[in-house]
Amino acid sequence: SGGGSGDSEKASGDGDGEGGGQTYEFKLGHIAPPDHIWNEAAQKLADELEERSDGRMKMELYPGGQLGSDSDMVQQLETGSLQFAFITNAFLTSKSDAFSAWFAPYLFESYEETLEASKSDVAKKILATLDDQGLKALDYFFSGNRTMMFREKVEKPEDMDGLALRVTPSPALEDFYRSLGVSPESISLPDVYQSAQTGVIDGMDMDLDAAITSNYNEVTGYGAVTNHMVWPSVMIINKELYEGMSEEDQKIVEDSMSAASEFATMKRASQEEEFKKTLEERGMELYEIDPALFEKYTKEFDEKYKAMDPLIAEFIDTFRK
Amino acid sequence: MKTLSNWVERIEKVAAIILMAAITLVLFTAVVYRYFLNAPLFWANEASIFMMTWLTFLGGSLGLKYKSQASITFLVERFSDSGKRILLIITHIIILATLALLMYLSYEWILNLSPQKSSSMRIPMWIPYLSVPVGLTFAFIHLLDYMIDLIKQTPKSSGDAL
Amino acid sequence: MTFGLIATIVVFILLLIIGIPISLVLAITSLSYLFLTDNLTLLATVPQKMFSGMDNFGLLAIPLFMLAGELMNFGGITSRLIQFAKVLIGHFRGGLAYVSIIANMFLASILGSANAQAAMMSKVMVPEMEKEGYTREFSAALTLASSVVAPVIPPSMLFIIYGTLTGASIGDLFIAGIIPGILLGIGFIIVIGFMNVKENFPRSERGTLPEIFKSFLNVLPALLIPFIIIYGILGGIFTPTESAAVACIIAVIIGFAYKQLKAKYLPEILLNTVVNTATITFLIVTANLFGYIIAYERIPQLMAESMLSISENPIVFLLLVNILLLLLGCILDGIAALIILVPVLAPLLTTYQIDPVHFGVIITINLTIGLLTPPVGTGLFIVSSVAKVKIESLVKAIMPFLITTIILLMIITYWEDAVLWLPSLYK
Ligand code: NA
Ligand code: NA
Repeated sequence: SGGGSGDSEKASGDGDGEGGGQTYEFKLGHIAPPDHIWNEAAQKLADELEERSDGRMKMELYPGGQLGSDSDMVQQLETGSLQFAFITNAFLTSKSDAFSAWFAPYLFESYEETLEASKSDVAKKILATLDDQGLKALDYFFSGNRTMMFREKVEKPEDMDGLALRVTPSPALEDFYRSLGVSPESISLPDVYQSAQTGVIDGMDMDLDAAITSNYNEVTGYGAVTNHMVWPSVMIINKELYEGMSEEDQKIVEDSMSAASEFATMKRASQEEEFKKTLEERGMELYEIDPALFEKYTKEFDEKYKAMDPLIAEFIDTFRK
Repeated sequence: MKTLSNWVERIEKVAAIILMAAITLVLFTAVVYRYFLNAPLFWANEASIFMMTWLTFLGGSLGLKYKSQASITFLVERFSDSGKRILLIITHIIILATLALLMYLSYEWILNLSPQKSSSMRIPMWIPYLSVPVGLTFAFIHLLDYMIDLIKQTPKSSGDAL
Repeated sequence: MTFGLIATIVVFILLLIIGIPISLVLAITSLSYLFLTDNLTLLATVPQKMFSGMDNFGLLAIPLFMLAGELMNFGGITSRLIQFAKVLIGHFRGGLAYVSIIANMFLASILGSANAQAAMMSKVMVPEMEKEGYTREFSAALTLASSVVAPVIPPSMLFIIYGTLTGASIGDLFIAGIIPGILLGIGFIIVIGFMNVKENFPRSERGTLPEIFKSFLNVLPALLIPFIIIYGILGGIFTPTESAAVACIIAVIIGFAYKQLKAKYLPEILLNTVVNTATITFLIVTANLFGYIIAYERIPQLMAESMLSISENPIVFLLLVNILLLLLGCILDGIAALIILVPVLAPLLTTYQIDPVHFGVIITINLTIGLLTPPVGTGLFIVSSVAKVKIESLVKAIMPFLITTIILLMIITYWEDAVLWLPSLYK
C-alpha cells in the first residue's frame, strides 16, 4: 500500500478550523535524543506550523526513535501512519544514490554555505528522487559536521592506515575511509562506547554533539575536528497528505520547514565553540588536520561518485571550488 | 495437509541448522579477520542480523508446531478432556485468523516495498523482509494441520521438540 | 480511559488465560487495539515493526550464548567446571546454589545483557543443579534471578543506552552499578541461607587435596573458555556478542578433545538452539509491535504524567517512579521501556534535584525486575523455554528473589550514597 491515507482521522480532522481551512494533527518522528538539536528543529517546526496556520496545524513529536529506526519511519511515512519525519541523509543513500552527493568530502567551508547549497536547484533535484516512493522530501537542515575521534593521536592521513574506525554504515562514508587505508567497522551504536573502551575499534567517525551526549570523550582521548563531511537531515512529509493540501497550506508547510531549517542549522553553527570547549573541559584533546593533506583522497571520491549518478556529478561540479 | 506440514518442517529444520551454524562461523571469522588479518568483514554484522531474522521467523513457526511457545496454562489444565478440546479449537480459530490477517498484511507489505538497499551489503531489503511472510505462512500451515487433527479428534502428540 | 483501551485490556487478559502463546497474545492484542480504536492506518506498519524487532545486533547474543552453553554441556565442559567448584565449596549445604550466584556475578562483569546471561546460565546451571538434587523450578528461578545482575554490574547495555539518552557519564554509571550489583548478590546469598534452613539443600563431600588437584588438572582445558572470553573482551579483541561466537568454536574444539562431543550431535544441538531461541525472539518480535503501539498512543507518557503530578516531594516522586516502572515493567521490556520513558522522566530530574547517575541505577534495577515479571518478561521466557519449566511455576519460585530485588531497589532509591559514593572517589 504505497499511498496510505493522508486523510486518516489522525492526519487531519474534518471540522473547519478557525481560519476557515482544514485542521490537522500531525505526528513527527526522528531518531535523535530529546535534548538534541534535531528535536529543537522539530519543536521549531511545530511552533511555526501552528503559528502560520493560526492553530490549524498541530504537531506531536516522537524523538529518540520512539517510533522506530529510519527504515521503520520511512515505511510509516509511506503508509501514512506517520506524517512527518527527519531522516538521516546517510539512510536515504540506501533508497536513492543521489543523496551520496552530500558526503563529498571537504565540499563546504561553513554552515552558512551548506545551508545555501541546500536551497539550490540541484539539492532540490536530489530530494525529488524520492517522489515516486510515496515520500515528499521538502528540505534539509544540518547538524554537527563529521569529525574523527581516536584512542591514539593521529596527525596526518597516513597515520590512519590500518586503523579500524567505526563509521556510519553508508557506502560514501565507508569508501572515503577505505581510500585512507582505514577498515570501516559497522559496530552498532550502543556497542560503540565499549568497543572504543576495550580497543575493538581505534576510533570513530562522529560529530561533536554525539561525542558529548554519548560521552565518547571517556573512551577516545583525541578529536580531530576535521569537519570533513556535512551531516544533512532530510525533512520528509507523507506525499498523499502533502498533495491533498490546499496550495496555501502547502506553502505554510514549506515556509515552516525553511524557518526550522535555518533556525536549527544556524543554531548548531553557533554552538561549535561551546561544544569544543565542553569536550576539552572533559579532557579530550581537540586539534585540526590540514584539509590540504586530504586532497588526494577527496579527488578519488569525486571521481568515483561523479561516475555513479549524474546528479552527484552536477552537485559536486556546482559546489567544488 | 499433514504431508505439507511435514515437508515444511523438514525445510525449516535444515534451514535452521544451516543458519545457526553460519551465524556462528561468520562472526568468528569476522573476529579473526579484524584482529589477526587486520581486514574486517564490513558485511558480517548485517549478514548475521539478516540470518537471525530468518532464523526467528522459521524457528518461530517450528516453535508453534512443537507447541514450545510460552503460554499460561493453569486454567486450561482444569478443563476435562473434551472441554480442553473445545477450548483448543476456539484458541486455534483465533490464532489462525490472526495469522491469516498478519499474512495478508505482510504480503501486501512486501509486494509494495519501495526500493531500498541494505546499509552495508547493499542487497535489496526484500531478502531479509521475506522472512516475515514466509515464516507466517509456514506457521499457518502447521497450525491448520493441527486444527484438522483436532477436529478429527486425533490430536497427534507433538510433545517433544526433537 | 477510552472504551477502546479498556476493551483491549479485557481482550489481553482473556487471551492470556485461555492459553494462547504469549507471543501471539501480544500480536492479537495489538491488532485488536487498532480495530477497536479505529486506527486502521497503522495496520500497514505491522509487518515492518515485526521485522525491525529483530533488526538489532545485540539480540544475536541470545542464540549465540545459548549455543555456547549447549556446546559446553555436550562437550563435558560444564560438568568439569561445576565439579571443580564443587570440590572447593560443595561441602557447604546448598553449595551449588552459591556457586550459581557467584558464577553469575562473575559473568555479569563480562556481559552487559541479562538476556544473554540468562540464555547461557540456564543452559549450563539448571541441568547440573537438577542432577545434584535441587528441584528444577528452584534451579531455574535462582539462575534467572541472578542473571539480572548482568546489566547492573558493569559493563551494561542499559547504562549505555540510558547514558546516551540523558547525557549522564557512562563511565560513572558503570562504577555506580558495582555496589548495588554486589548488594544484589549478597541479598540472594542471604535468601539461599534462609531457604537452606527450611529446605535442606543438598551438599556433597568435601574434596581432599589430591581430589582438588585432580579436578583442577581435569578442568584446565575447560577453563580456557572463560579465560578467552575475559581476555578477548577486556583486551579489545572482540565485542561481548562476538565473544559468544568465539566461545562456541572453542567449545567445539575442547568438546572434541575431551572426546565427549561428536560431529553427529551438532545438527541436533544447532536445531535445539534455534527452537529455544525462536520462542524468545519471536516474542521479542511481537513485543516490539506491542511496544510500538503503546509508544504511538503515548500510553506510558500519559501514565507518567498523571502519576508524577501528584507530589512535589522528591522522595514521593522516586517512589512513584518505582511503582510506575514496576507496573510498566510487566508489559514492556528493558530497552524499549528505556527509550519510551527516559525522555519523559529525565526533564523532571532537575526539578526534584535528583542525580542522573543515581536515577540511572534506579531505572536499570527497575527494568531488570521487569525481565522477571509476567506477562511480558524476556528473562522469564528464556529460562522457562530453556529449562522447560512452566511460566506459572517459575513465577512462583522466583518470588523470594523478586522480593529481595525490590527491597534492594528501595534501599538504593533512598540511600543515595550506596550508588554515588564509588563514582565520587574518581572525581
Ligand atoms: Na554486566
Ligand atoms: Na515484565
